Amino acid sequence: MPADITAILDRYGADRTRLLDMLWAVQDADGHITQPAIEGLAAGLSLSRAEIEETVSFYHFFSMQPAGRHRIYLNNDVSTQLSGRYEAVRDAFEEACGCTFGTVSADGRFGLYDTACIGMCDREPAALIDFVPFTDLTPERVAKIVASLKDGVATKSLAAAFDSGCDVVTTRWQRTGPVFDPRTAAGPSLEALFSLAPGEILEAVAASGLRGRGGAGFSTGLKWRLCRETKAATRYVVCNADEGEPGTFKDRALLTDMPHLLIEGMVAAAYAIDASAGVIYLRAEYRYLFDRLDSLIADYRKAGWLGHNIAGSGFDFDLRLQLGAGSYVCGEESALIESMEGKRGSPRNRPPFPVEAGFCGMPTIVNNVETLAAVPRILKEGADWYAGFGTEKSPGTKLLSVAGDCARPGIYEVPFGITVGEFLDMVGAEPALALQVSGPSGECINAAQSRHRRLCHEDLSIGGAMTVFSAERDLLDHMSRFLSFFIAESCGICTPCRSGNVAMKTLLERLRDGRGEQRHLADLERWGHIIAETSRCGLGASAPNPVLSSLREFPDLYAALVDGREAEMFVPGFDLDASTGDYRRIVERARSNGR
Amino acid sequence: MDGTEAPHKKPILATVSLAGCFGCHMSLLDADERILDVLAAFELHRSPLTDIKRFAKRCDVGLIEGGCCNDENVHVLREFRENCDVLVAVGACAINGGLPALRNEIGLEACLTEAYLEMPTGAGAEGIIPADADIPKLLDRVYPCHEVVKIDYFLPGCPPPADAFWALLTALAAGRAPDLPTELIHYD
Repeated sequence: MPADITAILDRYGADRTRLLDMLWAVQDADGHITQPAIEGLAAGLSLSRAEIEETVSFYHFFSMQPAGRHRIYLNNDVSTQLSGRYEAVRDAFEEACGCTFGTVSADGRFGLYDTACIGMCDREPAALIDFVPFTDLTPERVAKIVASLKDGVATKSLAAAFDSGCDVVTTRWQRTGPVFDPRTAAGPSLEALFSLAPGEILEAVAASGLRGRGGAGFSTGLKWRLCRETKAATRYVVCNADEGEPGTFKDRALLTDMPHLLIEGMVAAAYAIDASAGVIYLRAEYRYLFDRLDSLIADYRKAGWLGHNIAGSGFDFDLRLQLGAGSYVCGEESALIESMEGKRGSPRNRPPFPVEAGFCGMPTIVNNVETLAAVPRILKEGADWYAGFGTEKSPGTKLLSVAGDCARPGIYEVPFGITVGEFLDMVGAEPALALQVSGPSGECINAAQSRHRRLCHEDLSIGGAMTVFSAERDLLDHMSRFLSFFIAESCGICTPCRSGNVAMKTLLERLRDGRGEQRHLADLERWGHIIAETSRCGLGASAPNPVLSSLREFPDLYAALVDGREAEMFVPGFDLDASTGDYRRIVERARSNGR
Repeated sequence: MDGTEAPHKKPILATVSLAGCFGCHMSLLDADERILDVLAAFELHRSPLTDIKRFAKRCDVGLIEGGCCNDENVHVLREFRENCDVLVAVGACAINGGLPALRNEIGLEACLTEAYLEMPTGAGAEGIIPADADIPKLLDRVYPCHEVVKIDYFLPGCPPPADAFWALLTALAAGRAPDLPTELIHYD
């Protein structure tokens, strides 16, 4: 039945900023976003069709063509490659569904798609089927799952039957800490909050030394104060729950096990900066958590902790969820705000910064889930208590999402400043070849030579992802895959990022094919610096990091690519046998077919 | 050189067209009467213009037209590299693969199928992919020369104009590194 566009427009007050919600509603009803729906939305929102289409086409999970009644998105990021079962699971999906990846089965029942990191890195291979996560896949399980779907079993009940019987993915808490512990995390504790003045909250957060936990590490207290000091009719609090950095799943743990800390952190932030509304921007990959979070928000509202005149304080604040639609760059705060306004998630030029002009032009703070969730803990236990953990410039603790070649993948809370050596021993990763710190946008470091290095803003900045590579891994293959990831996720606006990453990938592949020259190594590094220095936003600025850091940390691996040709700058590798191989195979096949 | 020859011996030039159209060679000949100066400045050895097919002596300069589309091109290019002191990739095909490299986006199998098995002009005919031991084997894609051997200089153009050849060869004959003004190699 076609989506009822009038009802959808009514549900969201024909508010352009809610375009993503409306598109989800259309896609949920029709299976894809149809031309009549686009025309209806354009008319209802006084936009052109092109403005709707440019938004639809930006997001990975929106489709303008039929995409299969069951949509299957198999994760293809680094952690699944390291699981050793990726290829087999991929083949099993293709065989069971009767179509190849990137296509829809002939009967229209299944659509198979690749997708980057769905935040299940400690339970790979994993796939989203109709936005329900299926983890720890094997070819046998894939066959059973697809057979059950063919029999008409509902996806949700299948997931519950196959996983641990609950409707969420269980978190592997390998090490809890003083700040986050699902067993001891208390329930609502907002009474104390409203006994404080907003200024006292700002002071406490500043005194705790809390810095942004998304990876950039900007001072939270300063961000809040700058926002508070911007004169405006209203202000907004935004939680960045668009945890897209491949290898990261620590926010999933908080959203699953301690979401009340996040909500209370947002209420505290709103009270401190005098904000009227808050939004949790939840990545589409975590859509399965939407209803749970939504009902928790409703509970808080019912209890009087959200809404009008909270706890008799005269303070009004309400909160809602915004579902994303599949875009890595939306993790960048200004792109996230664009997306919240119902547009393509293209990063904005800065300044102005969101604290001056953010959501709908109003002062806005955008904070990571972990940052906001730490706030109620700081307010409860005290700023000094919090600042007592970690190092001087990186106070507090950090959640790490650990995956890859180690004995104990999962979530760890550690104080800032632990060494790489301590980390590797803790997760059971000996002997490790390399450690990808903070995902593809972070650094690839040599595990053996970096044991003394410290995980903190003073040395190795940590965003949350820690991916371990053992000595058996073809590290440069993974560096090349990281480039493919950035090529796919680049928004395309600026040339250094859009074209530069392709140039780096071409160079690296040529080198890995044995066709490279010594100068290509230098070119690779030059391109890296050009992209890092001239890109428009943080995505481009960090895209070359894996290659640049591995060039520095593993010079021998790269030198081996031009082995024996180091002395001469312009001598290429060329394998005549390999390059005539296709022709010989084609001729042989034609002959065996009688031609 | 065996030392008995005159000290100011003319430099020796070799040329070849690999996966090219001979347009670059035609452009070299387009130098009008200056072609006589070229012949005065250089001894022309292995070249389609002399019909000398094997290197009999070491050459100072080799001009390569066209990229590599088959194994014979690769063998010839390697011979040129071994026998020439300075190797110049001449024209779009030698430098980038040029027109023949259009097949790189299509794939070898699709090209051969279209040309020899399911050719629209040969309806009903029995198709066969040529595969005699005496004919060159096609490469998986067309390669520019610098991806096969080291190339010392690049002379862009499709074809490079006679004046550009002239400037390149006079510089090399005088033992200078060619430094062509932008106007000479600027095409849009």
